[in-house]
Amino acid sequence: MDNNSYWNQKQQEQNGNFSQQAGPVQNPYQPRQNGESGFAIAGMVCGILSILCCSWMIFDFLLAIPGIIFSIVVLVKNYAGKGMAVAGLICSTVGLFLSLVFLAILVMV
Amino acid sequence: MKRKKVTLEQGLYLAGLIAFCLGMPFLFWYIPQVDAGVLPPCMLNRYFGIYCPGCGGSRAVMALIQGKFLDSLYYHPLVLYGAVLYLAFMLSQTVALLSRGRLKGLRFHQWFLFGAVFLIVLNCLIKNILKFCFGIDVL
Repeated sequence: MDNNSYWNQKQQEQNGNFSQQAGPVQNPYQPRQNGESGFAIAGMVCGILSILCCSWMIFDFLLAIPGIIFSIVVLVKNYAGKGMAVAGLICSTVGLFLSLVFLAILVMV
Repeated sequence: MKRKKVTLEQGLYLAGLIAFCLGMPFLFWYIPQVDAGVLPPCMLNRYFGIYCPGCGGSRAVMALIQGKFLDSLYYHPLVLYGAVLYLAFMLSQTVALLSRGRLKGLRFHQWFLFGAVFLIVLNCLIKNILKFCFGIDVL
């Protein structure tokens, strides 16, 4: 017996209804649907690192810009991990902003 | 033939290995630079006296390399947090790989990353509040 039919039967038993046809039931042991959330993770990791390395301007641009791109890809394409993408977008933007501030200080002083 | 789908943890394990291979040469370049004091200081701290979110990071990395874990936590908690999470994930995934799936490795959770953001914000706020409200310069 495969997992889905097992869970369907379990659901019917719990409902006390063996005659009715039960609809598809979510199997709690189904693997996670996280195919595209790698983009969200990459965006957030880049964002966190860009905040940490905000005083290293060129290096920071190399982290913040991909972070923004990855996060936007997740949001536009509707991939999994929207919360992380939003957080990654905010972190990358803050990192980029700090880095630009540092660059401005360096140019002006 | 159907291609086997790579799981999130396998992808992260591979990314961790690549990060290790890229990070080691970087560390070998970085440590002498910090020791020699040739790296530029934080502009925000130098000209405005404000601690940026990354302030204390270099000192925390150096303290961690020297095995001074409490000092590392004091300078920047994210460095120790990241190192512990990285080691735990990589070691547990290596064990899972060697045991051919009989033992389960540490699974990724998004709260690991939100925890890192929380630590950055908290660290920056506490250092600046201590400096500007209580006159305590922690770094």
